[in-house]
Amino acid sequence: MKGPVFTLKGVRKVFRTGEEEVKALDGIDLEIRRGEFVVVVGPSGSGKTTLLNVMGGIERPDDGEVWFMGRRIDTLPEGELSDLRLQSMGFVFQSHNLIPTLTAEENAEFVLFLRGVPAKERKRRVREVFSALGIENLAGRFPSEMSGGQQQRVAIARAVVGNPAVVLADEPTANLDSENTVAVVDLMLRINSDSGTTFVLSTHDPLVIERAKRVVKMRDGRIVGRG
Amino acid sequence: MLLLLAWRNLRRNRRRTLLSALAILLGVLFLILTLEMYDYLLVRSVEESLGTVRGHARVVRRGYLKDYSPTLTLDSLPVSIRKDPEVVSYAPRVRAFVLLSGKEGDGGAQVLGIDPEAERRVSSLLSTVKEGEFGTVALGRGLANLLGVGVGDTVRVVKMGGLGWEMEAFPVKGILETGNPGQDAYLALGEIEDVRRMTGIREGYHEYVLRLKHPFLALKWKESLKVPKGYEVVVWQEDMRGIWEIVRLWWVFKVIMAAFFYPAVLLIVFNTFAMAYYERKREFAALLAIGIGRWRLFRMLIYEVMLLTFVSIALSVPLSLLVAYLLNRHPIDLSSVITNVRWEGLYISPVVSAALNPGNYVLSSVLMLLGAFAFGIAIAVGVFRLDVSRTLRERVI
Amino acid sequence: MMWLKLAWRNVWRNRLRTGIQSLLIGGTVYVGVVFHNLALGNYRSMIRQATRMGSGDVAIYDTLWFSTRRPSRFYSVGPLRKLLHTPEVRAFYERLYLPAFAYVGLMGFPVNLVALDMRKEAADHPLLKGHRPSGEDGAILGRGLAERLHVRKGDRITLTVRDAKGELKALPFTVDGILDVPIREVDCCSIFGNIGYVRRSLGYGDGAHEVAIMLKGESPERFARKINRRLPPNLKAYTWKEAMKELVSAIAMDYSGLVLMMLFLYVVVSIGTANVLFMSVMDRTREFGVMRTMGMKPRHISLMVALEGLLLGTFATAVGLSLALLTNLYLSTRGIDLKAIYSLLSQEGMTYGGVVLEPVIRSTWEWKGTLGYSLFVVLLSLFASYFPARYVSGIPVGEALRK
Repeated sequence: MKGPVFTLKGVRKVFRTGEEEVKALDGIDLEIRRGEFVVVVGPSGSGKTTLLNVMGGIERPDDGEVWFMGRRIDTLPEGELSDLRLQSMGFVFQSHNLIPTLTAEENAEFVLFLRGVPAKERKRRVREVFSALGIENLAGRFPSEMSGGQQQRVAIARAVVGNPAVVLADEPTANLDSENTVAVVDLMLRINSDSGTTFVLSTHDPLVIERAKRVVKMRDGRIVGRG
Repeated sequence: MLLLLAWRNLRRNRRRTLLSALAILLGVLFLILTLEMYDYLLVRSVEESLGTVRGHARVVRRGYLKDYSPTLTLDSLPVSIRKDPEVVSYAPRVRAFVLLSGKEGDGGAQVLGIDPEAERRVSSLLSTVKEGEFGTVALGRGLANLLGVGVGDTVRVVKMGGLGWEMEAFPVKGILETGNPGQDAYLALGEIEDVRRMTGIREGYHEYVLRLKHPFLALKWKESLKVPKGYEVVVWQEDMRGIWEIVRLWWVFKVIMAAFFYPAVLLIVFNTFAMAYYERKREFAALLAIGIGRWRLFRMLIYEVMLLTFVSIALSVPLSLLVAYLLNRHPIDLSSVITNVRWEGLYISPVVSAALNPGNYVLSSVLMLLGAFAFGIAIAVGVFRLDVSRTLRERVI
Repeated sequence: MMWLKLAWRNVWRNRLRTGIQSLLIGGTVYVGVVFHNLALGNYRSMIRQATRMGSGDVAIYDTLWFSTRRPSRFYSVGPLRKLLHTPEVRAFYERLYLPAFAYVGLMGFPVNLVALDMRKEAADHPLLKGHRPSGEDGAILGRGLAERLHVRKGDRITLTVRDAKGELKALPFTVDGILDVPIREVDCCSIFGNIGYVRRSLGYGDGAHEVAIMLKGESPERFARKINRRLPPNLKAYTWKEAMKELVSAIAMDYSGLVLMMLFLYVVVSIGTANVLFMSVMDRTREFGVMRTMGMKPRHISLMVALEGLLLGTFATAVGLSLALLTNLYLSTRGIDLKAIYSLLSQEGMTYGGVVLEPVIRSTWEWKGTLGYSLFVVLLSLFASYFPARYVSGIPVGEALRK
């Protein structure tokens, strides 16, 4: 039996703008197991992004507990959270994922650099991942020289280059056409099945949902359905 | 309306606006204070120099200043000069060049015979007596040191008489310090009668020293003055040509100082506004698309630059004035650390203070406004070249 | 290397912005270095002139003469001569300074009689350069004094001066030359005569008030210390800084003005650097959020911004310094000719601190100040980056990502 990667218990998060209060997460209980490919779906403002941010330690919940690989992370200090993200998590966002002043290859290499991996080893692993993902031709390009789809592929390569336990992807295909959407999701699915990396994606794109192995439906900060 | 929009735009990126305003504020403050300090040094040195021996102007018998011939005397100040409205006061003087002999040695001296009552109205010569009192003779500090005498001692005046060397003894009544050690090494004061005796004349004076209403306009005054035949009027500008030229061209120095500080400040302002312009290019294109008009947009950008500059200056000027006022009230005297310095015949005391010259505030503000205006135009002129449709299609940087 | 690469590329993301700030920083370094070396070049020329005319690099005085200038405080230089025949000494000059009274007929003026070895000093003394005395009683005097006394070259003048015993004596001179010098003390009141003639006529033996020592390159302070150990208690060796306090003050006053102005400029430029870095980090808030999700710690981001400030400062300084050095190369060989400006201000020449200013200013190569200025600017850029760096490290990740 595979153990849980994430366990969320009664997680709440409220955002305040002026006098208005928005309940982004309203009592979320969720467990995600190792190797799963989970898609969080729901309309805009349903709390998908906040859920992923809370799981990644980017936001702290106002209430409840967030456990990652058997360790409670919502109370961890900032430095330890950074270490955790560096060692065990990968992130892919909707756009502007890459550092514009680094080439595709350097973007991926940067994660390994932060981990203190020696330069030779970094280069070897980046080359390996790029070739596995079929994006060797993009290695020397800067983000401004790539299309949106190409940028997302490089972002995925960067997210997985350090062999993280989990990749959190917040609407990774939102800015892509259908052809690129399918290609990017298939790429994630391939990595998931090849290396067993857990993927948690948020989306409202049917093309992504129909490829999901597990779907979590959200509305108004609550989970309203699981598949 | 445009002004209001400009103000709101400035508030959009407060940190950037504040830093640019700070740069302008400090730039203007630094320039004003620097000019105030230099003005103080120059004006004070000139005034001090004129206020003791030199005076604003001197009236002498024609030819006297060439060789100081003791016989070239005048009895009284010509009425045309005495009654001139520009002349505030005047005092007669007699001058003798003598060899003084003291306990420890001899020294050549220029002894000025003065009338204390009249002199007080013209110069501060009497207030330079720091030890003892005025009388025949009061010696410059350096001269007293050279002769090895102090108040109460006696010095002998050695002069060439018809029968060879003649000596006359005088008590040392006082010691004076004019602030110019070079001058103190040969200057002495005495009663007119005594000094006449030293120089061998029985009556008359060698010069009249004048105090003028507007010393800096003395040259002009002299031009309009009708000097009676046989007399000569010398104003301080002729005595101290180097310094007068420096005073005359002082404004050039001020502009050079501005050229030293302001480009740096203006480049910061330029940088800020250039960035603000590029960030808002799409917004400008949209405004142009709805028909706001390029000229109006141009004006709005100029308003932004000028508003920022104006507000910063408005804050800077009172602040500068406050610092200058405090410096003026409490000058920092560095004379224990560094000595006075001669500069073209002036003695500059190392005192940090401020002149409180309104011209410095006006000049600094106007130059900054002009600079900001020029830089503002350099940026705002971009709206006339803005390609609306292309900019609207462009991604925002 | 990765950090450097990233920081360098970040610095140049907005070329206009960085270019302008580089111009500002580089310009400050340029102005600082050029002015520093030019000012020091000018001071060196002033010092050279003053030491040759006055105290030399080191001068030996009777301590009481030094404070009072009393002519009776002269000393015998015989024992000193041997002491000064050392490899460090290039030349030394013996001088007597006597207050005197110059007479032509019944007209008299107080003057300073400066008795020196005219032939020997012609090599160094700026006023006596090229002068060949016609006879042992030859004298040179300032134009102002000559006019007062109505004398011309070849005329005779008589000075009334005390001899070594304190008796008044009449000492005749032949006017050998008239000097056009803007220094008032020389113009109106100095007469240069031969020391041999004065000594013999007034019974001064081998006496002098001053022995001005020109060194070959030895530090005046070290030499003065060394020689002071061997001097009798009434004599003391003074370095030119001790002997010519006014010149030291003149230089200090002038240079502190420059330093003050540079400091003002540095403050303004630092604000500019902080402004540019702030603009830069504000533009990149979301990017910092992404970096944080990659595992970068707040201090990494702060360090990166600080590195950007440092790189910007270093680059601009390097450019400014290079240009300044090129300019200095020109100014140290060709110099700036201020003749036109000086003649506008004063026909006789400009004087400052008792020294006639050279109309052509040549800069020098003073590396300590040059590198100090440059390093200071680089450090200031680093300092200016502190605030934006601190600011970015404080932005919460989630908030940064929402930008």
